[in-house]
Amino acid sequence: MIELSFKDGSIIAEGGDIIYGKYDYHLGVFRAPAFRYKEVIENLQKRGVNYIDKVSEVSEFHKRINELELWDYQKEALEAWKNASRRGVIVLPTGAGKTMIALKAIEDAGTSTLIIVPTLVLVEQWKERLEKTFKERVGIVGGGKDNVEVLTVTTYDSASLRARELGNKFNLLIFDEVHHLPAPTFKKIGEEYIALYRLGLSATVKREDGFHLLLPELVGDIVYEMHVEDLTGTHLANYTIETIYVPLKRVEREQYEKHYNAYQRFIRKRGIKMKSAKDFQRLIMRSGLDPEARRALLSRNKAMEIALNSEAKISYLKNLILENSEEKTIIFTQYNSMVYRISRDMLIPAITHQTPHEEREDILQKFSSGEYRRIVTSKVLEEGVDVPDASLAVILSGTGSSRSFIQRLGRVLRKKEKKAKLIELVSVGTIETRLSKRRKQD
Amino acid sequence: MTLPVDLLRFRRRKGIVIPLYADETKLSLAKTLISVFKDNLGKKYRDLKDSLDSCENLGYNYKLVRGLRFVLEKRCILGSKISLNPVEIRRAIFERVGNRVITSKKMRQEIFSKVSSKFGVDSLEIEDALYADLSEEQRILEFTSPEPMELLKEYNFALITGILTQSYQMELIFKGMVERPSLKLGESIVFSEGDFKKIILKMYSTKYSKSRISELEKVIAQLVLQDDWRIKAEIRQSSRNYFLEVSKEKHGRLLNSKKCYQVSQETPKLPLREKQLPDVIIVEELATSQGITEAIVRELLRRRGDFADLGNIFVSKSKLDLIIKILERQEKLTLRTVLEAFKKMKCQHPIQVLEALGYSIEWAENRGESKVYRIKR
Repeated sequence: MIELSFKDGSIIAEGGDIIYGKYDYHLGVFRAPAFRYKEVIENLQKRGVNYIDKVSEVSEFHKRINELELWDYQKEALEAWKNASRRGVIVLPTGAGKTMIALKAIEDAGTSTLIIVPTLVLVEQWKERLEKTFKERVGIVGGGKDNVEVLTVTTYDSASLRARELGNKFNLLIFDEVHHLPAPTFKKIGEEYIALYRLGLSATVKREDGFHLLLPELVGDIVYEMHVEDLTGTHLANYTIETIYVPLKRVEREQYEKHYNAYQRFIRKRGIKMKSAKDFQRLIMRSGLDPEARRALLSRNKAMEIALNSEAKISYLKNLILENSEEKTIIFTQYNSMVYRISRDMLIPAITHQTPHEEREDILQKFSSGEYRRIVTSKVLEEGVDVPDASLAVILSGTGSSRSFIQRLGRVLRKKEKKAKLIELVSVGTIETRLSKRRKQD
Repeated sequence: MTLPVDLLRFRRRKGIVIPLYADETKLSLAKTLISVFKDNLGKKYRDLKDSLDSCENLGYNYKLVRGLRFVLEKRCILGSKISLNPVEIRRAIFERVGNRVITSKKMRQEIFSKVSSKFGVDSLEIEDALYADLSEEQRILEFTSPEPMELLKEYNFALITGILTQSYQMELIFKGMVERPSLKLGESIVFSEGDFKKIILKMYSTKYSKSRISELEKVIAQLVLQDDWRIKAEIRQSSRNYFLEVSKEKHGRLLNSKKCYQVSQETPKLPLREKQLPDVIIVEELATSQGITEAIVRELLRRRGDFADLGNIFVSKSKLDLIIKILERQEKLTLRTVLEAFKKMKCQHPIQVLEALGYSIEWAENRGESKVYRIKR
C-alpha cells in the first residue's frame, strides 16, 4: 500500500515508488513534482497498486454567471481550452476580453481557483471583478494580505514563495500575463502546484530569452490565438500607426555622435558582432570585469538616452498635443525621469510605479470621466491594468520589445466609433530607428 | 545586509567561487565615498546620486563602487521637510489645468499662482512640493558615518551573504553558539564533532524574500562572531554547481564586524510608532509579515513603551491590566469564560496569552469546559 501526500511542492510516496519519483534519502520516501499528480495517479491505477491519496485539498466551487455573454471568438477560445482537457494558453490582444473568458472558465471548471497576476494593482482589479461576478468572498495572498478562499488572487512572487502551502489547494490555475511564468524564478509555480486545470492568458507569449518554449509543459499548448489585425474593425477599434522622425538638435547630435562613435570604436576594435540580444548580454557581462567594455557600454547608454529623451521630441510633443487637444491621450516614455519632466513641464498627471495607489485610481477615474484629457506614464500601464479608453497613444520613447509595443497599442484599441491613432516619435539617424523597426516586426 | 545579485563580485575557477573581497587597498575609495555622503547631508537624494555616479569614473570596478554605495545608503535616513501634501498639491494643479494644454511658462505660472493662493503659500513652495514624495526628491536627513575599514568589512559581509543566496546547501562549522537556522531558509541538521558544531542547511529553492534574507544574515552574522568558524557552500550559477569556502582563518579579518548585523537592524522601514497595531502581537507573525527579524520587532515594540513584553508575544499594557483583572477575579476559570472575555475585549490569541502569563489548560472533552489554572506567579 502506497500513501501519497503533499509536502513542500512535491508529491510524497511512502511505501513504494511512483512514476517521476526520485528517492529522497533524508525522508526515506519517493518524491515527484506536484504537477505530475495526474500521471502519478493514472500510473498507480494502471499498475494495479493499492494507494491512499492524501494529496489534494481542493474544494468545489459551483456558481453560475448569467449576465456574462461572450463574443463568438471568446466562445471559440473557451471551447478550445475545454477540448484540450482544460489546459492551455489563450492569446488575444489587449482589450479583447481575456478576463471574461477566464471568468467563464472558472464557472466551467467548478473548482477552487488561484488567479496569478504580475502586480498588486492587478490583484485588486481581479478581486473586484471576481466579487462582482460571483458575489463570493475572494481571497488575496500577497502585499501583506494572507487570506485563502475558494477563489484566491495572488502575485507571481507570492505564488512562488507560498507554493509549499498552497500547492494542493487549487485545481484551476489562471495565469494572467502568462509570459511571466517561464521566468527562472517563477517556473516553479507551474511545477509545485497539483492543479489539473490551467489557463494562461497573454497578448503575446514570445519572450526574448526563448523561455516561452516551457509553457506547453507548465500550462499547456496555445489553444487559441488571435492578433490585433484579426479583430480590428469588428471587436477592436480601427487604428493607424504613424512614425514621425524628429531630428536631434545640433548640440544633441554632436553629443550623440561622440558617445555612439566611442561605443562603435570599441565594438570594431574587439571584433564583436552584435546580432542578437544574447550578444549584448555578453557585453554587459564582460563590462563587469573589463573597464574598457564598461566605458563603451556607458557611452552607448548615454547615446541612447540622448536619442530617446531629446529636447526636439519634447518640443514636437507640445505641438502634437496642441493639434490633438480634443483627443484623450496617453503619452508613453521609456524612463520615469522623462515622465516627471513632462508632468512638471506641461502639468499632465503622471502614473509610474511610485504613484500611490489612491492617486493612481483618482487619475484614471478622472481620465475616464474626461476631467483629465491626458496622462503620461512609463511602463506600469502597459500590462493588464484596466485603463480607460484613449483615442491617441504617443510613444515618446520605448524599447525594441514587440510585446511592449503591442500592449501600448492595445491601450487605444477598445471598440469605439472613432479611429484610434498611435504616433511614435523617433530620433532620426539614431539607434532608435532600429528599435522602432524591431518592435513592429512581430 | 546583503548585496543584490547584480552587484556581486567573484571569479569562478575550476568549480570554485572566489569572492572578490574589498581589502585595505580599497580604503581610499571607502574614504572618498564616505566623504561624498557626508557632503550631501541635508541635500536631495538626486544630488547624492549624481555625485556618486561620478565616483564610478575613479578607476575602480563599478560593481565595487555601487556595492559600497549600497552599504552606505543603508546608513542614511531620507525624508522631506515640506509640510504640504504633494498628492493634494498635484490634484489641485491637475484639476485646475483640466483639459487645457500648457504650452508656455506664462500659462504654467498662472496655474501655480492660483493653486498657491488656495493653499496660502508661495508659488515656489508649490513647485517644491509638487513631486517632493518621489525618492529622488527626498533629502538626506541623517547619515551614520562608519570608519573606512568598517565599511569594507560590512561590504564583504554583504558580498558573502549575497553569494550565499545562490547556495542550495551549506555547512556551517563553528566553535561556540549559533542559533539553528529558521525553517524559512530550509531544512537543517545540527551535529557535534568534538569541540566543533556543524549545521548542514539544505536551502529551499524559493525566491529570497526580505524575511528570508534577514534570516540568512542573522545566521551568518552570528557565525562570523564565533571564535572559529567556516562556511562550505554549494552554489548554483549559470546552470552549473560551484563550491565556496570562507573561514575565519583566511577571511575573518575582512569579515568579522560586529556592526554587520546591527546595521541591518538599525534600518527597518517599519514605522511601528504610527501603525495601528493589534492589542496582542505574536512576534514571529509580525516579523514575517513585515519582512524583518524578530529581534527588530521586539526592539521597536519596546521603544514604543505601550506594550508589555511577555516573551514571544507582546500585549498592550492597557489590555494586559484588564486581562489580569479578569483572570484574577474568578476562582474557577474555564476556557469558555476566558474566550468570551477576550472576545469582548477584541483581543486575539487568548491561549498564547494565557500560557505567557503562566496559566495552563486542562483540556476537557467539551473544549469550553476545560479548566484554566495558574502554574506560576
